Amino acid sequence: MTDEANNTKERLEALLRRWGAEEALRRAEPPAAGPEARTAGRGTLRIVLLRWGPVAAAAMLLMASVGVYVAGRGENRGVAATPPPKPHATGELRRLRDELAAVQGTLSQREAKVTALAGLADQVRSLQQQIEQQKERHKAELANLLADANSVRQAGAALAVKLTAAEKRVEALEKDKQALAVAAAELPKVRAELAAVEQRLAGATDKIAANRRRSEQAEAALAAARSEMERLRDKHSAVVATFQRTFLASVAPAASGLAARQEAAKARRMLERLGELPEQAENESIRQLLARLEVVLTHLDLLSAERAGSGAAFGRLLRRGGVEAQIDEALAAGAGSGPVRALLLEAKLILMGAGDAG
Amino acid sequence: MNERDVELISRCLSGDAGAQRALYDAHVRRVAAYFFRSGFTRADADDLVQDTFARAFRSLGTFDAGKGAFGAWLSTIARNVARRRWGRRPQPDHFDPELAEDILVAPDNPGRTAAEREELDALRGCIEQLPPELRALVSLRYVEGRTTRGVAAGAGIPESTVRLRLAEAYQRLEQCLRAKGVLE
Repeated sequence: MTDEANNTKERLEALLRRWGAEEALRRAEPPAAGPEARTAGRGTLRIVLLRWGPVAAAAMLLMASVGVYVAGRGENRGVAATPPPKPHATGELRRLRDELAAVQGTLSQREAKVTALAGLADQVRSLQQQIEQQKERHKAELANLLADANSVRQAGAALAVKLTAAEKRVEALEKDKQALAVAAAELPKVRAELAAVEQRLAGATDKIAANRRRSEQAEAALAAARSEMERLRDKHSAVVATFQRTFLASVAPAASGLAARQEAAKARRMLERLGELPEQAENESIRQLLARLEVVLTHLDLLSAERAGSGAAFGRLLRRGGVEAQIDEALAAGAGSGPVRALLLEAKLILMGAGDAG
Repeated sequence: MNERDVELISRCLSGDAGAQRALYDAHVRRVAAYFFRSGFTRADADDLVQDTFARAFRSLGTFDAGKGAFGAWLSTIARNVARRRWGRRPQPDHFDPELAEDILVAPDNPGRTAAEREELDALRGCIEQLPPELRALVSLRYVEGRTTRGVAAGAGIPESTVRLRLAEAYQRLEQCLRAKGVLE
């Protein structure tokens, strides 16, 4: 232990001792009687008075007797001019001597009794002390035995708790064992099921591989088809472009750009023919397409080819309406009667590329 | 030297019963506490207190104020009275004579400095915070002045348990006093 710890302990001990002394002073109840109680004959003083009271009385008596005796002798010697002794005075002296002897005898007896009583009192006190000590000892032993018994009881209770826990654990282990036995019995069946599952898994794996191969082949075919389609689309565009150039050159040989388209539309009487066609339209969508086409061709007819920006404005109108795409869709679907399809084809040739034409 | 004691003694010697009573009242608690702490029963302690004061008043004329305080002189008489009673029987080993002596040598309350008072108040607060069973053991040890064996007998538990619990009480008090800044 360090010096610091020692100092702390010593300081705490000193504080506790000071506190204890103060508390003891505070709690100490003084005897109910005051200092005068001694004179009332309590405890030791009572014994002292009991022992020495008769002695004092006897001493006083003795002194009185001696005084009388001395006075008598003085008279006999004629020391003082006093009257001669009278016969009754001698008798009185004798009587006093006898009384003194009697008192001394009584005193001796009382002293002997007091001594005996004191001895007995000491013995009784000693026995009481022994009894008290034995009581204390037995009380302490009993306390120790009770504490031991309590410890044993607590240990027993703790062991009982442990035993119960161990029993529960054994029960749980027993259940686990039974479950294990059941599982062991079912193991061949589970193994067979596992083998079947593995076999199915192998089959599924083969199928997945075959599907993957087929998928790869399909993707390759799709890519080839896409490539072919691109090629055909390019060829189609080239054919249509050639066809458009030929068409425009035949109906408007002296013009080019928007002017060529305006002239072609006039030469082919597109607006007049459109006015006649709605009666021949099969369905509502064709009628709506023809109406839009009329708007576009009217716009083309009124367009001033020389004015700057007029071509760009027409291009925006075409793109916004999506008329070209709708014409392609109707032609691809084979919709409408022969005159309608012929008009739609000619409109496509006139309008194709018009959005980019200046 | 307590001037009041000197005055009371002077009046006692001139036959003033009131002064005798006042002197008795001023010192009786300390003497009674000493006998209780020395292991005497209540009846024995009362008897010994009476005996002590009877002797003191009988020989009050021999008291010399120049040689020391009346309390110290009275303590000597009390020790002699106790010793004489112990002479007739073995002193019980349930009480610690050193702690009994603390009562006789402890200074009177007014003598304590303010700092000491604060420390004792802090300790008192810490003791009140102890669990009741630990507080009882601390009281048996330091207020009644018992030895470990005496505490065990008083509390009805084995001595080993007393040692353990007192150690726990010391630890708690130490922590509490540290928190209050009384111990470093």
